[in-house]
Amino acid sequence: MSFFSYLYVMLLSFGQPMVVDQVDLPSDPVACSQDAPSFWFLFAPESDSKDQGISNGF
Amino acid sequence: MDHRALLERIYQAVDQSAYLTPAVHVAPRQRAAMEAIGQSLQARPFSPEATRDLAHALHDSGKIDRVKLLSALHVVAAHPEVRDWNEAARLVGEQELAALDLGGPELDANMAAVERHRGVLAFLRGHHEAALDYFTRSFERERSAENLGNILCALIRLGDLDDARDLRDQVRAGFPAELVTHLNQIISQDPDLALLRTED
Repeated sequence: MSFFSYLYVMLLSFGQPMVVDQVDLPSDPVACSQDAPSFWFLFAPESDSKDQGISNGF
Repeated sequence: MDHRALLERIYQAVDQSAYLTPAVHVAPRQRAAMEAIGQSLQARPFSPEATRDLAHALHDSGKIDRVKLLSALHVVAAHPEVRDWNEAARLVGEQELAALDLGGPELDANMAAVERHRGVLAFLRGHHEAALDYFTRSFERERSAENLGNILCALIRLGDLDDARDLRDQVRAGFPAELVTHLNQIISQDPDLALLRTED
């Protein structure tokens, strides 16, 4: 499989990130995807919860 | 740490991305189980114990391998409601050894996850240059929008907004449209990347 084909297949399975309530849960993951292969969770550090995000996929 | 040198590696990886044929592939056999863990991580109220129990049960039943088990346990430990940094760091070390022992066609993807986890830990502890180093390693192993997004986050936190914009533009110009679309989604939704939206 070529890299492009790999990316195409891989990205087809990416889900739309689902934004959750950032007001009630300021220190929670602020977005995530329910779909494989690359689950990603945006973490909001407590120091500045609305100004940072980082992705910690499995 | 010379993060300019890291930038050179990132640009080199971007330049070569269209020609790589990585041996990694997603294992569909683990997909449903990892989705279940992902949903448990999203549950409100979030229960670290329930998520850990679920991960162990899925591993015991053969639905996920040991690498994915340790990855899931790490994500729980690094969760904002848990913040058990020592445990998260211990688990990612164990995950690395498990990935190396497992080997196989998923080695690069598994090692990319290890580097990403370490980068997230460094980032969350405020060590942004170390995080950039880890995210660069992860991106070199696995060209994904997720890894690019993390690199952009680290660059912005380091104050390298111009470099972040240059990298964004280079990716948009040279990467497959699907990946660019996903990266654009991340940029549009991640508050840490808001500074990259101005020229969209």
